[in-house]
Amino acid sequence: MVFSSLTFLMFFLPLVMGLYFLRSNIRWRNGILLVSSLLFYGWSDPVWILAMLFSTFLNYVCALRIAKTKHSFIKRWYLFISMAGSLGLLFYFKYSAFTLNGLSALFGSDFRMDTPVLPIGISFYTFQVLSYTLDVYWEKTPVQKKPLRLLLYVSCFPQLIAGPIVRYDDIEQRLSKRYTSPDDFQAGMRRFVVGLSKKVLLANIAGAALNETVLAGSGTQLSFAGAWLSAFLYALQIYFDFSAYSDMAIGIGRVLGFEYKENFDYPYISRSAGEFWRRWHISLGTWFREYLMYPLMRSRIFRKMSMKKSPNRSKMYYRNKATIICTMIVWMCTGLWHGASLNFVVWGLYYGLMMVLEKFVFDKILAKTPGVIKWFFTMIVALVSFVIFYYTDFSHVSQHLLAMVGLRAGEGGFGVVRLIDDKTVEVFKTYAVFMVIACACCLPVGKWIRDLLGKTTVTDRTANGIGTLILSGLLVMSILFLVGQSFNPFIYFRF
Amino acid sequence: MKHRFSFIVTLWWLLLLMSAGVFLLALAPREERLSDTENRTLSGRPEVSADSVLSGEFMTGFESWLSDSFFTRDSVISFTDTLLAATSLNEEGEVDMEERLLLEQKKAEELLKETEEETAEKTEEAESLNETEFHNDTESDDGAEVSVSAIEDTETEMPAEEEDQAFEGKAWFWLEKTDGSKTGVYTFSEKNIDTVVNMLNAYRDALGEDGTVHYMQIPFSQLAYRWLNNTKTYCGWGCNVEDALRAKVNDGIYVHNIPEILLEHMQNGEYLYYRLDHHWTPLSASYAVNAMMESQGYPTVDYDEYEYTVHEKFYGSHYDASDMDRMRKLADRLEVMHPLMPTKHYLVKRLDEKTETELMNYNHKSYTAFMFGTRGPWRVIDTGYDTGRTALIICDSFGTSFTPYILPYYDTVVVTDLRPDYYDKKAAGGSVRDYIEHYGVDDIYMVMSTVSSVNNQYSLSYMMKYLD
Repeated sequence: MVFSSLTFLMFFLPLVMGLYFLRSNIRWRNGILLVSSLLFYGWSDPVWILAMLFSTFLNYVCALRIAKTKHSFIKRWYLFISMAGSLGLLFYFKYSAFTLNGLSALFGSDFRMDTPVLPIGISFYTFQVLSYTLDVYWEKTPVQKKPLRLLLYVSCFPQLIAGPIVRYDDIEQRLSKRYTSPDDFQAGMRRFVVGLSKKVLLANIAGAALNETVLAGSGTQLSFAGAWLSAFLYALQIYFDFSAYSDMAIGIGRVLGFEYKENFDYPYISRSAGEFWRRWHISLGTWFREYLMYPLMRSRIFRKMSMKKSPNRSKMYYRNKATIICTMIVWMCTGLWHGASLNFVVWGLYYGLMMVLEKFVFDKILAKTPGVIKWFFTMIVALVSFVIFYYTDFSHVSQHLLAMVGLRAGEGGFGVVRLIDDKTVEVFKTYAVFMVIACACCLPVGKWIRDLLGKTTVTDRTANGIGTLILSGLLVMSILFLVGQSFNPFIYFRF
Repeated sequence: MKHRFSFIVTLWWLLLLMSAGVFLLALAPREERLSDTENRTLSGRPEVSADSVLSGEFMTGFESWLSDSFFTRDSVISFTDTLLAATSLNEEGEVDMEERLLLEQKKAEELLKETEEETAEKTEEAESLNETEFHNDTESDDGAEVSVSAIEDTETEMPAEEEDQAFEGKAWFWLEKTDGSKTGVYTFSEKNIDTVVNMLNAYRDALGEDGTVHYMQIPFSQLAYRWLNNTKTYCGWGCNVEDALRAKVNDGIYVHNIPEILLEHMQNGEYLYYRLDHHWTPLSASYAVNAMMESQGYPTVDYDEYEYTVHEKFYGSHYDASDMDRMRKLADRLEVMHPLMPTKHYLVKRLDEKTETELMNYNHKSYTAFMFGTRGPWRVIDTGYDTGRTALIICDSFGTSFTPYILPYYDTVVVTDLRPDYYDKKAAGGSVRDYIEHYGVDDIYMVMSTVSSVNNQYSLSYMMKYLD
C-alpha cells in the first residue's frame, strides 16, 4: 500500500488510528500496529511477508544467541549466519541475476537468469534488521527478547517500505513505552499532510513534466537545454518524492508515539557534495558510515595500511590512501544498494570520487571559493548524478551527459546538438510557474517564516492555526489531484 | 494542550477522510461503466476471493475502483486540469494533457514546413495550422462544413530531426500537394522499423505453420482533415514505412498500407473520418478489411450489406477537448453495425473466465459504441460462422470498429488492447502466447493508429513485453 492512495487515506489511516487510540495499553497498541503493518506490507503482494518474517526471525534468534554466549568465536559465528541469511536474501532478489548474467557474459555462456521480482522495501528492512544484530554484537544495545517487538521494529508501517532507515537503538524504548500527546498528534498529522502534498502536488507533477520532455532513448535527439531541463525536473521529482515519503513516515511515526530522525535537510542548498549527502537520505548515509565505513577503517587491513611507514612517503599519505579506498568501497556499496545495475555502481563511484576530490584535492581551493559558486557547482554535480541514476541503460546516460555539454555521438565522431528544441520550450512554458514554486519549496522557507514571525507579534499558536488551515486546503487539493493520477508509486519503492 | 485548534482540525481530517471512504464504499457504482470524458471503461468493484487477494489483484482493483468512482470524478479531473493549465504560460495553456501531446506533432510539422521553397505558401500553411477557426474550403458529403483541429496527429511520432532533412531513402508519411510535391509529416527510423520487424517475426513464430500476421497503422482524423480542409494545397497522402517493413519481415507476415487503401475513397470525398473525433469511421474499417481479404483471395462483404443503428448527433473527442459550442453543427453520424450472424461476446480474464456481454453498445452516442470501447483485459467473440479458423486482434481503439467486419472470416475472434493504461496483466492471467495457444489462434491482426504503431512504445516495447 502507498501513503498517497485513496485506500490508505480513506480507510487504512483513519481505521488504524481509531483502533490504535482506543486503548492506551501498550500491548494493545503494539498488536494493532503489528497487524496493520503486516496488512500494509502485504497489501499488494502478501507472499513477500514471508521473506520479511524469515529475515526478522533469523536475526532475532542470532541476536539472542550472540547476547547469550560469552565466546567471541560463537558470537562471530552467529553474526555471520545472520548477515549471510539477510544479505543472502537481499542478494538473491536484487543481485543474483545481475551477477550471474554478468559472469555468464564474461565467460561467453548462453545462460540467462530472469531477474526475480523484488520484494518491496527489502533493502530498507534488511539494513534495519542488520543494524539491530550488529548493535547487539557490539553490545551497543540490549537484545530484544520478545520476537513480536522485534518484528514490530522491522515492520512498523510508517518507515517499512521506503525508510527512513531506523536504527533499533533509536526506538528501542518506544517499543515498550510510548505516549502521544495532542500536540504530537497534530504535529504528526500536519507533517503527514506536508508530505502528501509534496508527493501529489510537486513530485507527481514534476514526474509528469519529465515524461513530456525529450529523454535519451526516446528516438528523438536531445537538445542542450532539453538535457538540462529534464535533469532538473528529475532532481525535483526525486527530491519531492523521497522526502515526501520521509515526511509522511516521520509524521505518522510521531502520531503513533515514535520519533524518527530526519532524513532530508534541504539538500539543494548544499555547497559541496559532502554536505549534499549530509542533507540527502541522511539515514542511509549514517548507516553506511556507522556499519561499513567505520568497521572498514578499523579493520586489520586498513589499520595496517594507514599505519604503514616508508622513508619516501609521509604518514598522511598512507592514512589518506586507506581513507580514499574505504570511501570508494562505501560509495560503490551505496550505489549497489540502490540496484543491481551498472549505472548505480557508476553513480556510487562518482559520488565517492567527488568526496575524495573535495577532501583531498580541492580542499584548499574550496575553502577560498565564494558560497554561491560552490553551491552552483554542487548543483551541477547533483544534476549529473541524477542523470546517471535515472537511466538503467548506460548508453542513454552517455547520450544525455554528452547533450548536457552540447555534444552527440554519431558514426563519424562527435557532433553538436541543437541549443534548444520546441519540446523543451513547450515544457518549460507549461511548467515554468510550477518550477518556480517547486524551487521555492526546496528552500527552508518554513524556517525563514518562523524566524520572521518570531520577530513580530504573531504568536506561535496563531501561526500554527494558520498553518493548519493552509494544510487543510493542501489536503483537499492533494486528494483531488490523486483522483486524476492513477498509479503513483514512490520512486524509492523499487529499492 | 498548546495547539488545541490544530488538534481539533487534524482530528477532523481523519474523521472526514473516513466518512468520505464510507460514503464512497456505500454509494459508488459497482459495475464497470464507460467514461466519455476519458474515453475508457471505469473500473467496477473487484470481487473478493482467496485467489484475488493472494495475487494482489483485489487490492489493485480496489484502488482503481475508488479512484474511478470518486464523487463527481469528471468535475474533479476537469478542475485539476484547469488549475494546471492556469499556471501554464503557453498560449495553448487551456488544452488538456492529451492535446498537449498532440501539439508535439504540430510543432514537428511546422519545422518541416520551413524546408519548403515557397515562402508565401509556407506562411499561409503556418497560419492555417495556428487557427482554431473552421475553414470553408471543403464541404463534407452531408453539406456541413468540415472542421480542422489546429492540433495535428500524433502522440509520440518522431518529428523530423533537422530542418534540412531530405526524405529520399527514408521511411516517411507525407501529404501530396497539388503541384506534385510532397510535404513530410513524420519519419520512421531504421531502428524503430527493425524493432517492429523483430516483434512481428516473434508473433509469427508463435503461430502454427499456416498462421499469418497482419500489421497496419491508421492515420488520425486530424491528418485526414489537414488534407481535406486544404484541397487547394493537398490532393493525397502516402506512406512507405509499410514497404520498409515488408522488405524485412518473414513469410506469413502482411503489412497493409492503410493510407494507400483509403486514398481513392478519400479523393472521392467518402465519409472515412469523423469530423469531431480522432477515429476513422466504420466505413474506413470495412474498406481496410475488404482490401486485406481481397488480397488473400477471400470474398468480401460490402459495407451496405450490414444493418446499422444510426445516431446523427455524435460529438467526439475533438469536440470534448475544444469545448466550443459552435462545433456542434458539425456533429458526426455514428453507424453501429449489426453482425449478420448471431454472435456471443465475452469479457475474459485468466484465460477462460468469461462474462457474457453485448457486442455493441447500440444506445451509446460515442465511439465506445463499438464493442463498448476498450476493456477486458481480453475479449472473445463467438462469431456464429464456421470457418475453422480463429483470429487474434491486438489493437488500440481503432480496432474496435474494425473487429466487427472481420467476424465473417473466423469462428472465434479474440481481442485485446495491450496499452498499459488499458491492459491488466494480472487479470489477464497469462501471456499473449498463452492466449494464442489456449484459443488456437491462426491469424493475428495488429490494428492500431499511428499513435500506437511504428514510432510508439506499444509496437516497440509492449507487444514484445506481453508476448511471454
